[in-house]
Amino acid sequence: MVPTMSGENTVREIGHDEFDPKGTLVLILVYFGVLSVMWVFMYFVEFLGNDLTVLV
Amino acid sequence: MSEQLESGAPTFLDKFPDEAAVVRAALWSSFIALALGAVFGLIQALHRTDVLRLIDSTDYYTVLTAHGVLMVVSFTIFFLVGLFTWATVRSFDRGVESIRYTWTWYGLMVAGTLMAVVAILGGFVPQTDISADVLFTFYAPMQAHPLFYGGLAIFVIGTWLAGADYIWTWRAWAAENPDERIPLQGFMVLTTMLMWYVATIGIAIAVVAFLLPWSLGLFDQINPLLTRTLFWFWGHPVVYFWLMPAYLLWYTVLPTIAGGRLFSDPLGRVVFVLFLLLSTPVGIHHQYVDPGIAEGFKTIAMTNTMFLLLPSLLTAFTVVASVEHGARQRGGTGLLGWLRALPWRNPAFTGMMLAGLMFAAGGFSGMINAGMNINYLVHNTIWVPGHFHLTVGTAVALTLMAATYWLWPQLTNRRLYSRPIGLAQVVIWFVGMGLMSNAMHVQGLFGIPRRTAEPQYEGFDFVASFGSVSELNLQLAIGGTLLFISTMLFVTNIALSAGTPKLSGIGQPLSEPLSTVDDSPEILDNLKLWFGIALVLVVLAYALPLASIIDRGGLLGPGVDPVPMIVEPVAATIEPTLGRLAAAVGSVVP
Amino acid sequence: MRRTTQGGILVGCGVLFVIVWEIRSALGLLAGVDTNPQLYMLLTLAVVGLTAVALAIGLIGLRPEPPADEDAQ
Repeated sequence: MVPTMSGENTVREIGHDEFDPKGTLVLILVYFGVLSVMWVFMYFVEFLGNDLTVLV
Repeated sequence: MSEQLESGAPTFLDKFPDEAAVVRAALWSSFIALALGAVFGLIQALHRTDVLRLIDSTDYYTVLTAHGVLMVVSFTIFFLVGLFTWATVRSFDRGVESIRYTWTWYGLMVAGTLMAVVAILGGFVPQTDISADVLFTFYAPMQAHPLFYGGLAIFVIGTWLAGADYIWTWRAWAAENPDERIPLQGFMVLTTMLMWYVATIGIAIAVVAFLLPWSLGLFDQINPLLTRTLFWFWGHPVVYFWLMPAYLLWYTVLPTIAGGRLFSDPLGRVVFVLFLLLSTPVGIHHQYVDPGIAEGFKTIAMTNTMFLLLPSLLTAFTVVASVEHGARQRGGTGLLGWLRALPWRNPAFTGMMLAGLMFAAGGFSGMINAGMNINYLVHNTIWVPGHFHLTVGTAVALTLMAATYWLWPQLTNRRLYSRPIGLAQVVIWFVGMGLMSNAMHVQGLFGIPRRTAEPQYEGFDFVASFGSVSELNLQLAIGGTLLFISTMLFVTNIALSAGTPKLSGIGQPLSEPLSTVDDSPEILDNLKLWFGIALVLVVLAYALPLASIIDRGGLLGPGVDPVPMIVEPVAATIEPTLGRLAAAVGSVVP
Repeated sequence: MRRTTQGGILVGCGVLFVIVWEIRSALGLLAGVDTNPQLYMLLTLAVVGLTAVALAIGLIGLRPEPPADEDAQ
């Protein structure tokens, strides 16, 4: 159980060409989804939830 | 367990004992500030929610100033210089050129902090006229004792000398290795310090040319909008100065802890160059409601701000991809199943991941703040503290604490007192901040102001569209208490680690990136070019607004008298005035 | 079947608690549904507590990935 340089629990070494970060893509798409929903949500909370702001 | 820890590799302490001593000293300064700041944070959270009022409300601003300055100036920046000294020495693999010089800048930073803290805490001692209840933003015409401004100036000079130290190491290294690319950590340190040199132009002028002479009585008045604008010239890039140490850790340490390798070294460099270029010409977005700055300038600042989302989104991708690489190397499979294979029991890993998760939420409230029209609805409400407790208060603070669990053994050759306590600490921070920040955001939407000791008014109640204000107050107070407990657990854990036995060979080398620097164009390492462009962008963004402010108000302002932030003398001037008024009224009304 | 580690339960339940509690704010602000705070808090704690217990006894939980052993500092 000697920790090695690339992590003590490495089961397999994965090089640059074999690595395809699909999971990252999924997480980022989820984040964009959340952001979009929040943006719509913002419209309701910030604008419909408040009176008009008059700027002179 | 200790056998398992021994990799046989030398630690940073083994290789560079003198530098490790400076890093430890800087980190301890940082943790002391954190612990003190947490005490003041708890007092505030309980005071403004009216759960427990230990202090008089007139002392609230002393507490608020101390909390702000200790947390975002002392805690973060002391940690930064410690971490950057470690990263510079480690990545160039050579000691500093002069350890005496290194101790000198550290000493200056300590001296500056002590001066400012004495000035702030003087606010609790009515017998002295020393006080600085001007909050972290020290807007004129609120006036602090000269000790506060002087301390701030000396602190900043200390950071400049620290930056010079890193550049000195780099130049010495480059002279011996003329054809090599700058190592990634060194590159991150250097770009961040260059950004800091650009940013601190603003604060240096504001403090040295205006605020300090004014508080010494050399000027009768100054232009408040000018010093405010110069403050925000520095005040926005400083948030990236807080964030860059966290980014450095996410890029260079987190992948190793996750069992993987950084996805791309060139992407990391691009991100840091973008921050050097874009951090400063955006400060006016803090001044959307300031009169005296044209809407057009504010719109330019808003546009620049939206560009700043790019490097953070790039970071989200690179860091998550690096962690995924680690998970897959550890045997993780599936579209999301790899998340299970990560070392969630390691407080350093979990703390940094939870910090990143909260930063994603903070990114959204930041977009709300950055939009000019939406900003009007949340400006100066407690929504804003809710936002920055997610960013600097969690993304940065929690990352720095979590990284300490990894870094501290490298600096002391001792293992951590308790990893389970460390894990509990980061989770308590996450839950506490979830509660407190949520309550702050929601209260802000109901219009409850920030920076107020008693946010309740006679004849007026804030209307909650759901729940009740008192429930949100309770939530805020519970969250603040959990954060305080978490901070104390952290500092105690680190302090008790001094009592664990010395080990040898527990060094943890960092893994190499998947896509190395050889894949990136050499122009990325041309720091002079980027520094030059950064200066040009700042001139473009600030020349006209500053010119119009000075044109309208003059360098020394349109005539606002200083308001010294001292409770006793103010009362002493008001009372005789009231007495004379009463006498005058009495003589008229029989 | 191997049970989720204590660390995993702690982290997971911490995050679950924050998510479930934040949903109350979302319901209130967006849908205008004013949930009873005491009841909601009790339900939140119940959901989190039951999840923790279920994870601890192995009722739910994902099959552990090798290597389950933890890494060092």
